[in-house]
Amino acid sequence: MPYWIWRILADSMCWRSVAATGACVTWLYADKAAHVTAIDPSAKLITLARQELPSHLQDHVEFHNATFEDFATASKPSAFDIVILSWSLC
Amino acid sequence: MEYTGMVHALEEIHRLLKQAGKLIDIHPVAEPSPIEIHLGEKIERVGDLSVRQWCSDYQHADEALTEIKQRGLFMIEREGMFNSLTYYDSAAEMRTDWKAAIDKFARDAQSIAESVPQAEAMAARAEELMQAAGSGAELIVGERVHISRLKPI
Repeated sequence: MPYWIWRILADSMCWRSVAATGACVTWLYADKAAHVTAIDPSAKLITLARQELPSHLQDHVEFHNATFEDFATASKPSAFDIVILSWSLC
Repeated sequence: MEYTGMVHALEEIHRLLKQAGKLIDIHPVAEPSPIEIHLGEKIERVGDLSVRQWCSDYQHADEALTEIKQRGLFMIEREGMFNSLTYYDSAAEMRTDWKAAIDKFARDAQSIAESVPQAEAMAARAEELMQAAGSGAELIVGERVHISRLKPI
């Protein structure tokens, strides 16, 4: 992954809220945010993500087994600092 | 995801983001994925996997991003490319992974009819070459990936 994306992650300790698809890679950036909302329509990948998430990050991440569309419909506007689409826009 | 669904998802993200927020999009580019077997310094080329539906979806993802930029919802702050490598222990594992992905993403019968035999042939060739290579060989599938950082306008 390019250097600049890691710089964003490293410099973003002020993130309060992140919405992210591709839950299985959540652990890569979960410690850079106060709170991560991880969304994936696959229950299998959510289970895998829970298993791979280090114990010290458990309180940072809230997993949602849902499509992004369903999640977005139920969400309030202007709620997130960062949205990460990981292999999701296809 | 259909093209209209991609555009709608980006509109929703624009609504969900704070004014100073950022969108980071990561998706593969629409080109065949090279398959290789690595054993020490030796690299053996198995072939390229090209699934029409996947390439079509990746192309639509690019077009959806272009549309929302043209409509003035987002602007790109930075973008780049990197290689994503998937390592498999065996050709059987790769075949199972592809089958699940093709079943999940192929949305029309023609796409499955084209893609499954090609993936099967590629997996069979990989299996032969893995056996010939012996223990310690790694089966690697590469993908070229586009990453971009966008800000809402």
